[in-house]
Amino acid sequence: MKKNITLIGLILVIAIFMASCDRKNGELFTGVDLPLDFNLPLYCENEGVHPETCILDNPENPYVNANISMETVWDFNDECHSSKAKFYLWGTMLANIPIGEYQYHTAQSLHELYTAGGSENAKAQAKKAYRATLDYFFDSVTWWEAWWLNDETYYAVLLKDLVGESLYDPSEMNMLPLYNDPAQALADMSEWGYVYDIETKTVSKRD
Amino acid sequence: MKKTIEVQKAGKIFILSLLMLITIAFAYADSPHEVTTFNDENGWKLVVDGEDHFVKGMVWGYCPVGENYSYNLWGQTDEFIKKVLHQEFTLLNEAGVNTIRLFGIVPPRWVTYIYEKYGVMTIVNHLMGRYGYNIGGVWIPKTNYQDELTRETLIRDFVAMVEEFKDVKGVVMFALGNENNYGLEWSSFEIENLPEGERHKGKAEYLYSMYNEAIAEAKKIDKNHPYVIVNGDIQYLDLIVEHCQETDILGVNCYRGISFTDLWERVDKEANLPIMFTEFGSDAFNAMTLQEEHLGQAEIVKGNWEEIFNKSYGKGEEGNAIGGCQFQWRDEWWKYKQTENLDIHDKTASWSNGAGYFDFAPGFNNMNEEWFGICAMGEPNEDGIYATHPRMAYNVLKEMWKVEPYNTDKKTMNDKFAEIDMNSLYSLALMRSAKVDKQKSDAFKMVGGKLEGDLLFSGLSNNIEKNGKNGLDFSHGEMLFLDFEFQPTTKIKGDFTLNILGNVPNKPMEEYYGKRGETYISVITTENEDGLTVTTEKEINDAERLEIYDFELTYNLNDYLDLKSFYHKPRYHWGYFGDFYGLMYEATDMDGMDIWDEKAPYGIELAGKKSWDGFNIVAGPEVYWGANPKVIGKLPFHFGSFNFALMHSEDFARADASSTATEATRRATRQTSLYMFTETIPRTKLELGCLFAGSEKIGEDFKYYEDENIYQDEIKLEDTFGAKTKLTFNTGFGNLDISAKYSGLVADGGSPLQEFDSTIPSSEGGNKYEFEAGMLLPIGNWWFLPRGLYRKNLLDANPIIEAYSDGTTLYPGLMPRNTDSDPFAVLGNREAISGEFFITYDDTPASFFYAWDADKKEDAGLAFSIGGNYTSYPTETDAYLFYYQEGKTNASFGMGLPAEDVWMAKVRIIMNPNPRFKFISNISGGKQQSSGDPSEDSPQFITMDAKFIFNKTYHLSVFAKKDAWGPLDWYRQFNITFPYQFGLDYSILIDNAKEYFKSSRIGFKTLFRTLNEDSPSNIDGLSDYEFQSGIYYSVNF
Repeated sequence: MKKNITLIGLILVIAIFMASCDRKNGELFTGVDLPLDFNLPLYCENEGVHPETCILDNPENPYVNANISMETVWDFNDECHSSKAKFYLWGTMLANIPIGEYQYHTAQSLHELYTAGGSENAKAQAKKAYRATLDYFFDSVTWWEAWWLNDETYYAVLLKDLVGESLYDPSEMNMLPLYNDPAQALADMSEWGYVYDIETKTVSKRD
Repeated sequence: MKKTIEVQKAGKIFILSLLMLITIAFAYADSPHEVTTFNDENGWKLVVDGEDHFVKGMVWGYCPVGENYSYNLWGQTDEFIKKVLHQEFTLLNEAGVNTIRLFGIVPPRWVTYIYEKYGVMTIVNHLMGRYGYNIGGVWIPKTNYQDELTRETLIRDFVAMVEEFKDVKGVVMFALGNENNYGLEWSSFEIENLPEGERHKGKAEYLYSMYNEAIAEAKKIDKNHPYVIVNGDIQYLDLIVEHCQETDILGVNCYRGISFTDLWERVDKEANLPIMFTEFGSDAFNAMTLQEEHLGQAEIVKGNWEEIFNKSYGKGEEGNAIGGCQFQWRDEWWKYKQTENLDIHDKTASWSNGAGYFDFAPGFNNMNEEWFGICAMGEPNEDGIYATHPRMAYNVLKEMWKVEPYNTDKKTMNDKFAEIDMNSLYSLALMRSAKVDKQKSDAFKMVGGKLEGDLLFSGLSNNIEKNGKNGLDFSHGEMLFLDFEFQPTTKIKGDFTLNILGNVPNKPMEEYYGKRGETYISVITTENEDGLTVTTEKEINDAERLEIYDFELTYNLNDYLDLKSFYHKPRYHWGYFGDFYGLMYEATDMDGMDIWDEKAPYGIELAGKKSWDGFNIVAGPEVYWGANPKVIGKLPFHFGSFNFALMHSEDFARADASSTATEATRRATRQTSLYMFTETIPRTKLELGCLFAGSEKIGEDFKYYEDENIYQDEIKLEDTFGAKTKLTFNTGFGNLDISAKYSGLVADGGSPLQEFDSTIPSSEGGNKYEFEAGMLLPIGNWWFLPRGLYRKNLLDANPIIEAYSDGTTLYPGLMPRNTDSDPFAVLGNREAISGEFFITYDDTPASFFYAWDADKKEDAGLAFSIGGNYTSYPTETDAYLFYYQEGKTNASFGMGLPAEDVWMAKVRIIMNPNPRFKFISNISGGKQQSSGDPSEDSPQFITMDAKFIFNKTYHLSVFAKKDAWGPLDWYRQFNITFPYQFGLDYSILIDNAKEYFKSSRIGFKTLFRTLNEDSPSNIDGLSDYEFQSGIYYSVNF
């Protein structure tokens, strides 16, 4: 009898324990301030460079848990006034969906950050990100709007050529050069296994 | 007047006497035999129809290779049974056997057939719950002889058996049990209150009093046969004398070696009963030399029978021996482990006994369960009947049983025994063995193999229409398996299989083993002279032609521990051995793994035995299919009347690739569980468990949505705990089980244990309360199985809330969680209200309808189950993950499965209208959700398959499916259905084994399915159908 009571008691304790658990006691979550400064402390050596995904672990990254899709990312890019925030935006997209377009825009964001604030980290990281675009996504394209047509029409642009231009002479893009001497950009690309034709503004692989 | 009265009296007496005589005459009229025991100052005898009957008995049974205790010879065709009996009883007759004892019940007509054709009488033996019993419609594995319902059931069934057999020609006696005194394992408060040393004795009193009641009841309907209890040695002899006075004969299973020592004297003085050995003997395998042991077995057998003869009636000694049943007739290859390695004649010595003098050493296991036959088992003949090869002991018995003890004086008898030429019989046995045993070496040998091949063609409708015959693809494939065994020392044994590939066929509609050998393009990266990286492509078409398919090695560390290494060998879950949370998954789907070239389960195990039985530590790269590299251990222990099991599982890394093509990898985690059960309340099993899991996630952030707000929190210690209780109660008219579970947010267990093919969506995942109740209600041959489940999550899945930004502040929105980015997710553990009801009919309950191998074992004329499940999922799930092969990483489906009600109806039928024909069919239909991709509607489908087996030789399988997923899990994961799918497979078994998976066979197989625009193979969207056809063969050797 004593043991029966003990067993029933045990079951009751479990039942009470189960009934008493309410897990809805978190804090109200509102918004996250976007970084507006021009410094770029790196969370890991290759942050923002495929295949590294440490950007998803960076507590400074406001976009880690943001619900941003392949469709809405462009709106966030347009509304964002900070190149540092854009780096986190595109870097996060790249880490989640590793495609060339996101790698290129991550590199562009870093390039813009360097242009805006002179961050040496951003400059070095931009070179790595451009190279990753060539190494991993050589044939990838991005889509530009044919603004001169009435209909909403887009055409494909090869990312490799945009990378070549950004490294060799980004002046038309309103960005500072990443190299003091454009020839050094050509030399680096050559060392990576690519050739940039300054006449045609195209990049090809070295044999 | 007085005279008249006297005449009337005399007349009445005459009439009464006549009536009595007629009554007595009628009482015996139907009884074909009168079997009694006879006792005087010279001892005891068994007398059959007035003739002395010294029991020259044999424990006999017929069980072929690959089968176990569930094999039913009597379910085969009459022609087959007669052929088996002819083979076996010709030899038994030659030896002089006059009585057999079996563990199963022989149908009455075969008892008579054996008696009339071969003159051998049968001991009809009811095991009286020795290995569990069906009480109140529920299988109880540990029979409780104290329980009233159990006693009533056993006595009722025993009396029913006597009623059925009492008038059957050939029955010599009725036996009860089989050393049941060794299996008194139940618990009860009354028993537990006894001092420890008295507990088993207390239980034994219930056993013997139950025997006594059963015999007393049986004697009311049949006094023409004696009753014998089958006891383990003479343990509890005092209790037998006190509580079982109705027994006529003391049956003893006795393994004391070459002599039975003081057994005769003790029984003579303490019990005054005749003794018949119901089991005794020796194995025929020397565990030290690892060789078949003819001589040792024969010497023990001879010594035993000499003693029995000398202790029989009129030999001037105790005179209480009436004979015995030699254990056993022929080796049984299932005895060690009982359900595993059924086609291997296992040489593992599983217990130690000084009786086997030839290989006994203290602390050394020397008894080889699968080698107790006085005959060995050979190859099957053209009828599939396995040959019987006599050992030396058979010939010794044949000589000894020429002596009739009751008409031979003691000296003459013993002189005849002494004249038996053991040397020449030994030589004869060795010569016979050498002829039979073709195996050259026991240390390392090839034991078999098979050659498989395909010749097939396939195509897509669009290609065929455009290109005619050129649109067809022809291919062929071959592969060879070679099986090896090794046992270099007494402590080490193992086996492995090599796989050798020839051509690899192209089977576009199937995944299949051997694709590792397909031609592929390899990209090779090198540096040139200038230091530049250069990539080149090379076609590889001779890759991995040879691989080790599976491997197992067992090292006997000591009496309590074995060390095992396993590689792609089936392993079972521990759900019945203390794993209340399913931490150890079952890994038995070898074909499923093969198609992905998976080599799970893979690891090492330290396994306890004897008093350490149940202790296990397993570690390895993938100890079950899909496991992370981990170590998992289990420690059972007892405390009072409670049984405990403590388990811990620790992942020490994360798997670096999917275990299939698309199954997501899982985060490394750790889990600890404590399980307790007790059966001290009559007919009730109470199980309690607690879980501590996912502690590595403490501190991780998560978000949830409530009242249109997003909240943020982090995992705390209390989120890692879970508790669970289950009460199983035998109501007397069925089994009722009720369980309740609570699991903290990250307190994830493993795989839930589901029985009777239940479709209830049970889960051992965290973040939930769960209540489940079910019944098993048997009425005659019908079972009714209602079951219900209610589950509620502590936190629901996250809805999709779009992020937005004003340029300086980001409002990140909310996404469905996934198990990589978040500490937990609502998936299979989602809120649910589910109910199911199944009805099962089985006219042969002994062959379990829900057994995993019921297709083969179910021998009912008609057995079926019909029923369905309806489940309401009132909330959506979080997002499932899949493995993205090209990126070599997990990816999320991004959205959860919607709230939805789903249902399924199922019918399963197995028919054996006659022993030559078997029919199996499964029909199901319903509406079910995908297991990952939420982008399409849940399909409503119907599927049907059927298998026809003729004469165990001709196998025809067909299936048809409408709007169902494709054949593998990933089709459901990505919600890919086909409008119609059809298949046909016809094969002929071309050897004597008549076992589908073991026999050589040749067959034809064709698959056909119609396509829609989403079908993966319909790349250009122009094909309406695809098909694949071909012939295949498998040659086993």
